[in-house]
Amino acid sequence: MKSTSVSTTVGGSGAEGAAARSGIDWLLIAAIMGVIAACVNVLLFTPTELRQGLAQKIFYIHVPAAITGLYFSVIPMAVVSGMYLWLKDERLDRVAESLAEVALVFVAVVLCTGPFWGKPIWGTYWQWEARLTSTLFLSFVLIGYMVMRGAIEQPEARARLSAIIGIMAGCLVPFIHLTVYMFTTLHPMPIVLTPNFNKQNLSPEMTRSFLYSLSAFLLLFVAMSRNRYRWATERDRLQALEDQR
Amino acid sequence: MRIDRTTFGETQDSSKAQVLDSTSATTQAVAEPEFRTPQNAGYMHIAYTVAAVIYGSYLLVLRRRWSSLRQREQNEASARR
Repeated sequence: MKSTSVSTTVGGSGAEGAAARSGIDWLLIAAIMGVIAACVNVLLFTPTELRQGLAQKIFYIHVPAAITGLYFSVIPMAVVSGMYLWLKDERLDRVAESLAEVALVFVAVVLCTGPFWGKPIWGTYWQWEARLTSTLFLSFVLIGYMVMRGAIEQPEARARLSAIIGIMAGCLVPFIHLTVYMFTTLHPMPIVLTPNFNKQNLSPEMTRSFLYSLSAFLLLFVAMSRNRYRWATERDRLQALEDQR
Repeated sequence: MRIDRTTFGETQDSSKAQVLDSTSATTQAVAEPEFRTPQNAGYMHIAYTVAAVIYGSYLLVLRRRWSSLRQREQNEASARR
């Protein structure tokens, strides 16, 4: 009887639990297909920018990854971390943990793709200017968050300290956004997340491709975060069962 | 006489008439080169490959974690049996 209770508890119940046990995450598969379709659309059907050439197409993965990683991952992580400090609900800690890890993946993509646009356009892979350096600093904060979580074994202390680091990471995002206004930087001004956004910033075809890419990256982010959260939930549930024994 | 400083630092007398020799005349006759869109496909390919490697690696990490969790689950189930 005990074994039955373990197998139904671990892996969840119902259709979702069955999907989790079978190892197939349909949302994740749909997201991967969406990202592949968006990339094919960019590479084959989106016009090439006149002055920057094919390197401009890096924009369609760099900017969606930045918007998703910073505004849809790190800021919600900070909000959820703040809510954890208030409500002390361990589910909020798991959500923050999942968002932080996925945010690190997206920020890594931003930091690794940007230099390959910078080299042909700026003439250098990297410049120690405000936007690039602050984004690199954010990635270090996220790495520190993950390392700290791995180092502390007591769940309450781990959740509390990670919530504080999560809030600090969230405070960095508005600063990163404003660096191009506050400092003289090489990085271009925002052309999407700006009050002056209009159709003239990008041609209609480019705008359409950009929105496809952004939607696909958002779906990938949701699918990865959901998968990571479910894994964290199952891990904690299994840990509780092991501790009971 | 008016002396101008050129970009490269040497001076020239701008009041004198400029005499075009055959070489400079030929140079001026050539039309400006047509603007060409830069061919930098290599950077684009590398950036897309790097992004694919990062996302793919993370998906593999997730997959490995799930299989490790299932292994632990089986061990736990057999220990309780």
